[in-house]
This record gives sequence, structure tokens and C-alpha cells, in this order.
Amino acid sequence: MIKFDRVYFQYDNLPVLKNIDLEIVEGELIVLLGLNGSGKTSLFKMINGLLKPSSGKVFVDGMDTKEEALLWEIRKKVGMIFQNPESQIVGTTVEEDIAFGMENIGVPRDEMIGRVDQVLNFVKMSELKHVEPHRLSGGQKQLLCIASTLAMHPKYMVMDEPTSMIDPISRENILKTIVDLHRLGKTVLFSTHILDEIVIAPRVIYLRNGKIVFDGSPIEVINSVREEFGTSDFIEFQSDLCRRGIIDHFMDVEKLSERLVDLCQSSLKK
Amino acid sequence: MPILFEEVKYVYDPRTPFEKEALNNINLKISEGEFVTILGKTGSGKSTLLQLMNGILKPSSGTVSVDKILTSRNDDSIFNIRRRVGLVFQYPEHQFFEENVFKEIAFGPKNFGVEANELNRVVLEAVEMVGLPRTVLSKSPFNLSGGEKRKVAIASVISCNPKYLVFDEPTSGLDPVSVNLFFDMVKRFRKFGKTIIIVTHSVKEAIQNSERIIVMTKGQIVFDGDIQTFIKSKKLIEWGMLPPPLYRLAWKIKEKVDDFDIKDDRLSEAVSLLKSMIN
Repeated sequence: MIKFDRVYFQYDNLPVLKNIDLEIVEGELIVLLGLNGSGKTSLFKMINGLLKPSSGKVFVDGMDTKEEALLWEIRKKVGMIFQNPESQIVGTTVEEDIAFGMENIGVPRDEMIGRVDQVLNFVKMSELKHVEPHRLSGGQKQLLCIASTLAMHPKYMVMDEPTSMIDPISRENILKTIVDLHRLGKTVLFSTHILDEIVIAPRVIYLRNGKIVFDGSPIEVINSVREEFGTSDFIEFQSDLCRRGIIDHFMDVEKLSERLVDLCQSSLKK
Repeated sequence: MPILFEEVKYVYDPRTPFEKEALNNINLKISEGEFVTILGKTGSGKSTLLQLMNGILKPSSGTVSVDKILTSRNDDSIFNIRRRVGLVFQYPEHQFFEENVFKEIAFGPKNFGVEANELNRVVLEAVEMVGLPRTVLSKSPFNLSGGEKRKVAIASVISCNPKYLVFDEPTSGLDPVSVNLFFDMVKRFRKFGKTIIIVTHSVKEAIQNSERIIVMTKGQIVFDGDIQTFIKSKKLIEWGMLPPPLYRLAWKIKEKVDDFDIKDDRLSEAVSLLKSMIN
């Protein structure tokens, strides 16, 4: 479990996070929603001890992130993926980049070779194994960061706006990969300011000016975010379907179209 | 007087093993006062096209002219072109270098020869046009929020008083509030008579904001027309673009269900809602 206990954080005397209480249970898929500057990145950096609370505590499986001696263990459990993939790629080939993190945590060579193939297969980039990372597209670079992190077998995967710097088609691909990571059994947290992306997660945490103002299902969060975010016709449409009792939770385009086609066809048979 | 591309071809690293054709046979006219969005997936040639507009790149063959001045001329006329065509790169805030916002915005006009006594007025007009308070002028550009930085970067281009404003992925990384503020700002620029050219991946932003859409794939213009024709062409996926989710949803349902006038009341209501949204 990841636990935030009355966490307050200030930077340059400005409050960034204000009394955050939060519990994240193993196996969850959570989206952290907030505008630029709402504190999303700071909150995520608290989880693996890159930032320490000014007051309060953050625990990862009972380990306090303020304890320097525990940071190694904490960071093995928490894989971080940042907004700009460029800042995280170090290898001269895709394969080397994936191996780098594993070498650092002492994974035996034979096992490393197997894991490289596994994670590349997972992100569907096996044919790019020997390619130099600078030749990859933005979306592929982000997938490489996910693969490199996944290869270290973290329990929690924390992704800071993984879709904000890439084109819409790559974004869809990253969102599918996030769902796949969750299916794989990982506890996944990702942040976004794109309202349409909340449909893939059962739990939404909405951060405004450093405070959690909502924690619940995507359907429920809509009323809280409209004022600040405006609306999305896709989300509004799904809200409407929920109100009419046609669906009971939000879905991505693929699932929603399947659901509506099923309903259309069964209705036609009547 | 327009920006005019005639039979333009552009090749990177010609006669080397890395030779790559980025644009082929581009014919394009963008007239004063237009609001044009250029769409296309990564590598389609959008950014090359933009850089040809103010002479950063010169065509390998064919001609590009701005208000009848050829960008390929090797004389002082390039300054004339750069003054007319203001180019705002993706993440323009990455190029900040001055110690305060005033100096950052004043840098361009100063280089174009605006006198010191005029500079103050020019900078104030630019911050007003992008919707920033004057208090920001004494601050370091590096200490501003993401949205403010983007505005300062745009103000530093606006301060040169360009006739054509060209933006490369201007909303990349911005949250929805900042995106709306950006397009409000663009509307203000239009009131001042600016011609707007925006390159983006976002079909949604193109549909919502511009009047003319140009689609590029593999270095060629494959579509040039208005929004309605663009939507009806239904070739977005073929062109490597992602339509807004509601369109994708409607198209997916239409593929499988011929008859939309179904009997179940609840569902038919929802489907007609969907139909009305896409019509």
C-alpha cells in the first residue's frame, strides 16, 4: 500500500501540496487529474522519495520515504515514468536502454536477456530492439521508458503525464499500454490534464491547487471538474448514457462502441 | 498579397547517404486574414513547410514568396520576410535567455531597429495582446508558470508586429484551460488583422477553431478545404490522424448497425443524441 499521511509540501515558501491524505491499495488503476501547476508532479515525486514532505509522511509498503536507508528498497518497488521521455533514455540502443536499469539493481545477465525480450514484446516493439533511441518517434520513446521501467519488475508504476508530449495516435497506444500494465497485475497511477483519459481508470483523484478535492469514480468526478476544466463532448455523452441507465461506468471508444452495438442489435431483434 | 508556394520541393541532406525528400510538389496560397490549420502525422512535412514560410529553409526547387518577395533571394529582403512572418516554435519557452520578461519581449523589435523610445510602447502592446499583466515585465521568464511562459514567448514574436503568425504545435503540453486561453488570444490577433497559420496534431482543435484545413501526408498536400468537407471525407484515419472520440464512436457503430431507428426507447434516444452531436 502507498499511504500519504497529512502531507504538506512547500517549495520556495509557496505551498505546493496541502495536507494530502491518500491510500493506494495494491492492484488499483488510478488517474490523477489536475491542471498545470496543480501539484501532480510533486505528489508523484513524493512516492519514490524524489521529494520529501515538508511535514507529514509518505509510506510505501510501510516504509517511510524520509528514511534514507529505505530509499533503495522503495525505488525498486516504485517505477517512475516522466512526462518527457527524452529525460529518461540513457542507452545507445533500445536493448541497452532497457538493460541499464536492470544492471543497476543487479539482475543476472541471463535473466536480463529474457526480460528485455519480454518487455519489448509487451510494448509491441520487438523489431526495434537494436534501433538507436533517437530514431524512435515520441510515442515509441515513451513506450521504451515504460518497457525499461517494467523490466525492473516494480510493484507500482507511477507515470507523470505520460501522454502530454505525444501525438493523439501514440496517446491512444500509451493508454492501451496502461490498461495492459494493470491487467498484468501492476498497481498503476498516471496523471493527466486531458479529461477524456479518465475513462480508462476506475478511480480518479482530482487535485486542485495542491489539494485533493475529489476521490472517486469517473462518473462522479464530472460535476466537480466542469467548472475548472470545461466539458468534453465524449464525457458528457457517457454521462448522459449513465443517467439513462444504458451504461453504468465510463468506457473507452472501443468498449463503448461494442456495448452500444450489442444494445442496438439486441434491440433490433425484439 | 499572399504566402505563395509554387511547385515546391524540399530535400534534406541532398546528395548524401541521408538524403530525404520532405516535401514534393507543393502548391499553396495563404491569403491575408485567413485562419488555416495544417494537420498531419509526425514526419508528414508540416514543420518543413512552416520553416519555408519565413526563409529558415529555402526550397530545393520551386519558389516560396511572401507578399511577392521570394524567400530564396540572397539579400536584405530576408529581414523583410522575417518581419512579416512570425514563427512560434513548439515549446518556444525553451528558447528564453533574457533576465526579465521586458528584455525578452524587446529583443526582437530591438534587432529589427525599433528605437529605444518606441520600445516601451511596443512591449506593452504585446503583453496586452497576449493577455498578460504588466507586473510580469520585471519577472524572470524562467520563474513563470507554463501557460505564462508560452504567452511571453508569443508576445516576443507579436512585438515584431508580423502580418502572418505561424504556430508549430502551440498547445502541446498545455492543459484545457490554457488551450482555451490560447485560442481566445488567437481570436484577438485576428481582430488586429493577423493571418493565422497553425500546425497541430489535434483534429478537435482544428475543427473547433479554424476555417480552412490543410492535410499533409508524406510531404504532399492531400486535402485543402473547409471543415465540413474535411469531416465528411472520413479519411482521417487513412491520413494517420485520430478523429475526436465521439466521431470514432459514431463511425464504429455505423459500420455494424445499419438501422439507427431502433425500437428500444432508451437506446434510440441515446443514438439520436449521438447522431445530433456528429451532424
